[in-house]
Amino acid sequence: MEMKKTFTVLVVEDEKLLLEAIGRKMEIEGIDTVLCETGAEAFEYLEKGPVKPNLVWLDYHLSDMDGISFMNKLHASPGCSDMPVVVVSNTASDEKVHAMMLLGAKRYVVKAESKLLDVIRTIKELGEDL
Amino acid sequence: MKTSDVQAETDEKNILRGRSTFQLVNKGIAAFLIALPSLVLYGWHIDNEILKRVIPGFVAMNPLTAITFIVTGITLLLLQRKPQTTLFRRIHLLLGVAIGSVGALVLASLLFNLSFQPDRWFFNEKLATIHDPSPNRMAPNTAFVFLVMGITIVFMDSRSRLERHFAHIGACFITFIALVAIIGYLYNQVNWYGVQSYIPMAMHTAICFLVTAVGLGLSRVDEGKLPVFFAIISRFSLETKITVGLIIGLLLLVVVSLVSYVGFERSIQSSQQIRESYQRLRLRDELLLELVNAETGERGYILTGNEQFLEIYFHGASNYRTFMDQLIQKSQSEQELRSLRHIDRLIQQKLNSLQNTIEIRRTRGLAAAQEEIERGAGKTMMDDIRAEIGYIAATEAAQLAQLEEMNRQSIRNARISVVLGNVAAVITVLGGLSLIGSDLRHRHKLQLKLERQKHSIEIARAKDDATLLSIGDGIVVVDMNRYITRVNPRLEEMTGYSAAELLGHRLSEVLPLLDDKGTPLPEEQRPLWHVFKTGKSLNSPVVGSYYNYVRKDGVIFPAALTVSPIIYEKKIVGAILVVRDITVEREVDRMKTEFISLASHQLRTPLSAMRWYLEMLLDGDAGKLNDEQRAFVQNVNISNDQMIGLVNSLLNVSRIESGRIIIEPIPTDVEELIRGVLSEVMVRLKEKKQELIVSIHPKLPKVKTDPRLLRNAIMNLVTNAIKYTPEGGEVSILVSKKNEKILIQISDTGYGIPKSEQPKLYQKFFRASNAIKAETDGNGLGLYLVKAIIASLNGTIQFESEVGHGTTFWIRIPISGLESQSGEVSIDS
Repeated sequence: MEMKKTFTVLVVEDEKLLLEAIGRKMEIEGIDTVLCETGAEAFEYLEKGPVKPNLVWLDYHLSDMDGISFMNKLHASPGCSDMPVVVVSNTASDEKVHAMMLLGAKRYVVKAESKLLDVIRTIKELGEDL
Repeated sequence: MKTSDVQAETDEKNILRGRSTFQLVNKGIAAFLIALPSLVLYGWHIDNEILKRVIPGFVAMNPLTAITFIVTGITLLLLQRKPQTTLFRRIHLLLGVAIGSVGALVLASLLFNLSFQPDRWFFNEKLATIHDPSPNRMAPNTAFVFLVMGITIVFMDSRSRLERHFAHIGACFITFIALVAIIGYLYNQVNWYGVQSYIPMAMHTAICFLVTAVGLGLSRVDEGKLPVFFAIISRFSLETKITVGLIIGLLLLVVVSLVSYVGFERSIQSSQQIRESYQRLRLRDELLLELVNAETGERGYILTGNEQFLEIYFHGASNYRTFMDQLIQKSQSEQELRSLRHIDRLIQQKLNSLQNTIEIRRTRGLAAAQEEIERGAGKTMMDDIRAEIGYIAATEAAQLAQLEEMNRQSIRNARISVVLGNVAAVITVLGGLSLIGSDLRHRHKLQLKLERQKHSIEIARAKDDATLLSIGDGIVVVDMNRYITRVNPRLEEMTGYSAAELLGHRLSEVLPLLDDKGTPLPEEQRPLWHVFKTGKSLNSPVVGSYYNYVRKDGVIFPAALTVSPIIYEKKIVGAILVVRDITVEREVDRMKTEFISLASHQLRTPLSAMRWYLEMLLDGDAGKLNDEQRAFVQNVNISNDQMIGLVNSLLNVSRIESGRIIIEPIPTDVEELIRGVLSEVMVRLKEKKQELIVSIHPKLPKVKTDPRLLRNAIMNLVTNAIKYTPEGGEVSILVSKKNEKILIQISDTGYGIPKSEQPKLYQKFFRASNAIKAETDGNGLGLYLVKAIIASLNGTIQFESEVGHGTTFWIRIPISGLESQSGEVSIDS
């Protein structure tokens, strides 16, 4: 773990258990996280939060909005339009993936098929590029 | 019992009765053929002329002829046995050959004057004593008829038409010869029943032949094998039969009347002649008497001189003239006339001499007269006259005898003609009536049969109606021109059109067919077109996955169609369309797919959580695990992975089944695709120390197919090959090109699939019994998906497998031609 500076990821995941797992693993991997269960919560943090996250971990299916609305809203938020997003979802139909990538998502990962560590490594790689 | 059954039984009885009438007649004929010749033989035995000849003076029946008739009678009895077993057939063939041989041998013996004479084997001593008109042997015509009869019997049941034809002609020939002989006997024409100087055919032999011919004709009437004239007549129409019957009857009447008239006319004529003959005889007697009277008168006068005697003389002399004139008038020939004139002259001379004597007596007295008489030629003159008249009388008598004989003959002929004519007329009328009767019975039977058939057709129609009414699917029947001839109520309900609006219209005009996207289908893509073209039923759509119909109110509904041709006498005369409204089914299908998709999604969330937490446990994120803990968690992790795999598979199944899968054909490098798959499985392959053989056609063209779907299928098969092959086994992949198709062969040396389970291989959740034992991991969805995927790629898949030796799968994918399908979901995620 040789991050040059603190790297903060905003994790948006409506499944509490998954959210906790992600948070714990990120912590072990030395990444700071901001954990949000809903889209609203996430945008509230982005607006008022103390630290601006370097990257967003986004679950496509949220209880209050889907990935597309989230992306659109993110682009519309001041200072967040170029924030990298990694979509981590249970479903990955072509259209969905296509739409999210067009909206600027950096990666699209299927939860059940990926190890948590693999997703985190992907994020780290992205973080190094930043 | 149903009415129709009772009717059928009655008909059957009628037919049997008809057959038994023939059989009864035939039994009678056979009995006659055995009885009569037996009596003849008995006659030979006891030397009874009546038994041998029937009429004394007629020809006797030869003993061999009698024996052959007895054999014929037995043959006729055998011919009636039903069914004809091979044994009985052989016996009757043998008897036929025997009868024919008798005829042939005797004929040869007679014609070539051989010493071999079978017809003299029986009662030889008795035959030798008889010499009426020639030594008693079998007649050559009898022998010939036996030969023909033998051939007829041998050929009558033959399978060959030609041979049966021979038999047919044979039976007719026998009838003809027998009839000619019988008529010959009746009209006393020896030539009609005898040949040259040979002994003629006996009358009872001719009768036996006639009876045999009838028997042979009747024995196969019901089968039509040897119909003789019966069947030919029965083929004529009723009108022809009546006309021909009437014409024959009329002709018979005319002939009989004519013959009788001629006979009686002749008889009357000859009677007249006879009467005249007698008259002339009487006149001649009277003439002589008058002459004698004249002479007596003259002698009386000469002796007595009494003038009274002269009166007698004058009376006689004048009466004579009357009789002579009558005789001359009634004379029949020139010769007779000349004779009469001669006699007349003689009588004139005689009378002159008498007159002369009378004058001498009167003038010169008794003595001179006596002297004149003694000197005169009176005596010789009288003798000459008597002799001349006697000559005429003798000629007349001979003529009379001839006339009387002719008269008798004419009467006899007329009598025979009347009897024969009447018999023939009666036979014609009875035969005609019987034929017409049988025809009418046949017609009646046919009519009953037709009525029964009509009845059963009506019942069938009613059943059809009930069936059509109770069927839950719509049914349309079209004729060969695709015009609607019948619909059921369900179809009316389904389409909103009434039967009246549909019947008589072209199907495509009233009920246009749309594909699953709602586009009207052109003629050649409609199932009806295919059914009419191929003559085969069709129950899957020609294009797309289902059809759509437009209701009368404009609403489109999805439908599944089964179209079957109606084939009559090898020609397609129409078709039946079964239309099933699949709206509900499709809705259920959609709901099912949605449910599975949703359920799979929901299942994945906890599975993901488990996966990640297990991962962290195994990574020691919650503290280091001891070995046992680690092993346990590892097991849980494996099971979790399996569960994820199952959910993924179920998701794919629901996608494939819903038909909503996206197919994106792009030019695909199959080699690259396969190498990609192999690189993924290499780890597992090495773990199991299996050998991999790969052979790919070097110049493989790019295939227009959906690479992700193909990859999924190949991955599945290769994974299976590795999984179900023990360590150290062999997995091979061969790719070749054949007939515009890519052939991918994936084989292993694994456990194989038991033969009994092979038919179930592609079923959902099916796993082979030996596979379950060898590998617990597996959900039985892989091959089901592979088959579905390959089918969606327009490809085919087949396999061969043997337990203990391994399995080979072949996939054939068309190089071009796969059309894209814009679906809603893709496979795998």
